Amino acid sequence: MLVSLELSALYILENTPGLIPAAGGAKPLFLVAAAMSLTSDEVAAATVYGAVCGALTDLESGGVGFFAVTLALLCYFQSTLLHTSFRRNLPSVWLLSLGAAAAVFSADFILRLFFGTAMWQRCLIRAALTYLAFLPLSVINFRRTDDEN
Amino acid sequence: MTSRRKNRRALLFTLLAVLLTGILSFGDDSPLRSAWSAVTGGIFNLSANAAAQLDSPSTEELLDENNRLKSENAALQKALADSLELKDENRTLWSYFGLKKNAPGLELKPAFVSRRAPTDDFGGFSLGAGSDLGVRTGDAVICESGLVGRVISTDSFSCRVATLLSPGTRVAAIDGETSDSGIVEGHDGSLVMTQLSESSRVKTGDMILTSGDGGVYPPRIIIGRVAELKTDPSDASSFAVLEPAADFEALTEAAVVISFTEKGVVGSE
Repeated sequence: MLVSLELSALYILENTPGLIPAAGGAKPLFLVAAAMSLTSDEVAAATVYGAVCGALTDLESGGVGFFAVTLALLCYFQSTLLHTSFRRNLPSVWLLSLGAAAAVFSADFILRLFFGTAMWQRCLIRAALTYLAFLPLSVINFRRTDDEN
Repeated sequence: MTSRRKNRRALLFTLLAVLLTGILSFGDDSPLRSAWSAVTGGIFNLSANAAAQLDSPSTEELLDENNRLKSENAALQKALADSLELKDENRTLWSYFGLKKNAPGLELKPAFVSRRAPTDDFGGFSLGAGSDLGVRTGDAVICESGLVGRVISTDSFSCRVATLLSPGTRVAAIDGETSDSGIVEGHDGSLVMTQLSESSRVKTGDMILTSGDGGVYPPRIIIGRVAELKTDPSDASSFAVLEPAADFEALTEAAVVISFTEKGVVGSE
């Protein structure tokens, strides 16, 4: 329930015109940040959250596809690693999410190159802003999953 | 082991759901996107209006400006007064008075900017007017300042607009002062006018308008002003860098051109 409210609020915040100013022509992707922050949850749940966040991001771009699949896979692997190979703590979440963010935005840049819409400066700024937005979300969601466990 | 199998099954199921959703969401008037627009449209109208109120002019300033426009535009006021609120009527009178003078057969569908995808680097947005109101993919979109772009996809309740800065948006244009023609397109986030002839007399400060060639965009709509003239080092051709007339990032409303007299007419020799 709390996660649904959080994702709904972030979806509205991200897509409402005029609410979040652009920095260097780019804005953070709050739903991508939320997906990465929710990997501290169970693996199955994290996978679904990733797919939902990705689908909501894709819907505004024209059709569900890239972010839904990419985030579902990344959240699955990140959550699996967090629960099997890493200590389940905030620094691990931050480290793994840094890798996930690099992967998703690199893939996004390559896709944009294919369609001739890539501007590397904006992709870089967007990635950095998204990671900055992820940090407070990760603290909130990590504490919530800790309390639930 | 059981947990791993469960997780893999969850991943597979999720990917299948994403695939199905993806298939249902692409294309014009997709049922999924139409349903989503119907469900979320009201929420975004509220939030967009709330965001717009943050820096809107005072009611008193709007009333004063509106009274002054009424005395100059009686004919347009009569046509618009039934369907616009006082605040929208003021802004729209300024824009529509100039546009209708130049293109009498113009039929417009005004709408508010309801959403802006943060993944769009070229100022693209969604308007709260869809195929139910006659909006079609490819329709031109204008605002009070000039040309904004075109509709790239629709559902029943909204449409997505790509601005002139988007790669792939090309407009047949003409210099308002010298009558030199060219093509306006987005290039690396800037607006440029290319395919200028060798004898072109385009200069800095000239106003660039749509020519109407191709029947996609109505003629004589302001695109922008020439900010700089440059030479392409690869082929020594000259091109103009334009300052767009419309501020794409700051737009809160725009109008879709449903029809105009020369729509679909290719060539105007």
